[in-house]
Amino acid sequence: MQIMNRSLISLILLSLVASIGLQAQMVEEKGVGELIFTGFFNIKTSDKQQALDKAKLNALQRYVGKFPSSKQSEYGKVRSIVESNVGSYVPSAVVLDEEKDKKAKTYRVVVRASIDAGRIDQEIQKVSAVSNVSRGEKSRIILIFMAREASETTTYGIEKQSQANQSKEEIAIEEQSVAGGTVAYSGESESSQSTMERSKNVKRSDKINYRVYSAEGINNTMSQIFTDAGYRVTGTASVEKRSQLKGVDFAVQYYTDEFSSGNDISSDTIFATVEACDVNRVKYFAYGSITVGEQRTDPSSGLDEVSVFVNGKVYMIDDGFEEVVASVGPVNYSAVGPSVMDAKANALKLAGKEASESLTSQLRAKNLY
Amino acid sequence: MKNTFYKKKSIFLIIFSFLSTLSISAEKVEAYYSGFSFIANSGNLPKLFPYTYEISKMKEEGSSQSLLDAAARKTVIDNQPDKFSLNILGENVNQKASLAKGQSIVCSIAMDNETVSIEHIDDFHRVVIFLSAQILFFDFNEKSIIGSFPFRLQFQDVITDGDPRENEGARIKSLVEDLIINKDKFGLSLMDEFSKRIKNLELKEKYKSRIQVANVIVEEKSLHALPKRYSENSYAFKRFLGQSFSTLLSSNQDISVLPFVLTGDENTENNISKAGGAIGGRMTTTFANGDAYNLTIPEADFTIDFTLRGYKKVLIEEKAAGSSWVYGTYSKVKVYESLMNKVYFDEKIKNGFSTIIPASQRDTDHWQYFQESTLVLMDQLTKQFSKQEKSWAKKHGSGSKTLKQLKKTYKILEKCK
Repeated sequence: MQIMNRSLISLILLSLVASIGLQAQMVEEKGVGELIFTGFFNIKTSDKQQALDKAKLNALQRYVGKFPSSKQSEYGKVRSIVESNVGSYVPSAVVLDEEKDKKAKTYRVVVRASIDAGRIDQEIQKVSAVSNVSRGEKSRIILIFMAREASETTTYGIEKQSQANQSKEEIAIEEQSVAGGTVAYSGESESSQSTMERSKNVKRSDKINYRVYSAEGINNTMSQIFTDAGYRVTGTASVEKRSQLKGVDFAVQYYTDEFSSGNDISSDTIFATVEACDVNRVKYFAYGSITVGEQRTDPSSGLDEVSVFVNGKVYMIDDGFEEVVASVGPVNYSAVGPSVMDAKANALKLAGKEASESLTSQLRAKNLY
Repeated sequence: MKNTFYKKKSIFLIIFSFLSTLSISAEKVEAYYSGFSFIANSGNLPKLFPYTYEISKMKEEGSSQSLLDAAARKTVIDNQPDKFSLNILGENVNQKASLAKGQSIVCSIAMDNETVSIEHIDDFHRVVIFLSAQILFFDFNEKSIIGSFPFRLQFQDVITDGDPRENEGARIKSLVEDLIINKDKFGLSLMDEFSKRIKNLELKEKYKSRIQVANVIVEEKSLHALPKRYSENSYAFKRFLGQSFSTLLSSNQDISVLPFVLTGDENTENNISKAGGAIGGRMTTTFANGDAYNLTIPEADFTIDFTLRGYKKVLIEEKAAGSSWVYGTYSKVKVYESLMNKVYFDEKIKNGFSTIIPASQRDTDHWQYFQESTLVLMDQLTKQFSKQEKSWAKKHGSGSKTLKQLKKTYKILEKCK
């Protein structure tokens, strides 16, 4: 009696859980299946079913074909599992049309298939190395991503340099655009002496200074994605403090300073970070910038639209040496919002999310944990 | 005995808990009416809907609500559909927020075309007004279109006392306002057309198959006939053609038709801002209260290409009192499924519209006749998919070949119901 009651209760609970599980993340994709049939008069039901299964498989392949390359590499590990059990991952399909060619003895069917995208993602996650090791075996990672936007831009025109008769002329057109703060510009001049006459046109790159800030929203989003992917995200501030106590000169401020005037980090700062990670037994560090770009009114909706650019890398420290094991960008994202502030926040969050997903996907594809 | 009862109760509970999550309920599908909107970029509203846009800014007497919104809301309240439940979405932010929690279908009356043509004939002016809109259903959470049911009206009036364009077109604006919301004035209105359309409309949470006008091509032999607003903005003209075909197909075959989109090279930022409407898989709706949504249009299962091959007007007879003309529209229509590359319909279809132009008419707006010829072509073709008349196929197409393809296409349209 007690066993029977327990069984029934379990069955009730199971059906409730199964019911909830039905609310899967489904996506739709079209697919086509073709078969050479063998019957003389009509196509056998089994032939039709085969063609339908082929169409479902085609839909699945078309869906997977849209994955970014890193995710495609990951999917490669589970492809045989998924494709040998198409019915579970493509639970339903609506037949849109079918065509029978009696002469060529071919039967084709086109469907709109419902694909359980969530289940495929779960399969990918299941076989990743990081999901199959214990917590103690997983390595730590710190994230150092900065949001920044231009605070002043100096634009140069064509600079004409002629080295003749020990004279030089210099033409520079300067424009300064400032968003807050004081602007100070110092010009440069050179003189040279030569007995040969030659001239050249030189275009100098724009000089841009950035206001760098650590956006909480991005950090939280990125940390969550790395954590969900199975990685042990460690607080960067904690690693900074511990490093300094151990005599290693590492500070997040170096990234802030360097990203304020350049697009990448110096080798000295990389080295300091490697040392800091090494002494604290942190195996990976990821860093990058998300730069706020153009702000405009979206012509489609009339809402404010902001673009951002993402650049990022993940280094692995192995025996005191660093190597790049994942990278993203430069890639552009944009988002809209009812105000510039909302649009900016949306764009930064989107960029952080996409960058994290790409980086974790690359790490998983390489079985790194 | 007690054991058996307990077992039966438990089995019932198992089945109930499983079925409760499935949508097998016999209850009506529920949708929320959210307001009057325009299918266009907000920046282009004054250009594409010069009169309706001005009217949309007017407030109802004694209220902060837009005149159009108020009229649309009243129409919805007074004309509840028979086959699904349409609730009114309030201004309450919480109500909107609660929509986002679950799957909710939102409905809007979305205006997609306003055309006003004025001809000066002798001592009077002939005004022709063409208005069209869609009953648009979309998933609030996903911002994805579920169904679209176009409707339209055309009206002609003769004004004998003065030029209606004077006084910044105040008279035209008043006419357009009446045509949208005041059925009592002329015996017809856009809101009335809406109420007729929605009465027997069957809304499904999901449609078996989806069809869409995907490509509109305008060949060079058509360009000479276009009015300035279209010759300067070819994408607006394509939008007019695409939306008109979609409207007539939907109403004549009683099916949902996905909104027309601009694709390919046309999908550049500059062209997007000019054309308005649906762009590359997304469509902007701008509501009268200022809310704007970018809606995703799902991929169509079957697609239609409409090619306007040319316009030609032919003088049939000339007399002292006037001349008789035929305005000819030459088109090519293709209906196909792209994955299997199966073509159901690929025919040249033509139509002629006859009219008499009085000798006293000072200026003739030829475009209104070409437009009429085009719309009649589309109207007749979309009806013929089910009517399948031999005589029509012979006169407007290529005879038996056209007839055969009409039948083939009808089988596809049935799948879209």
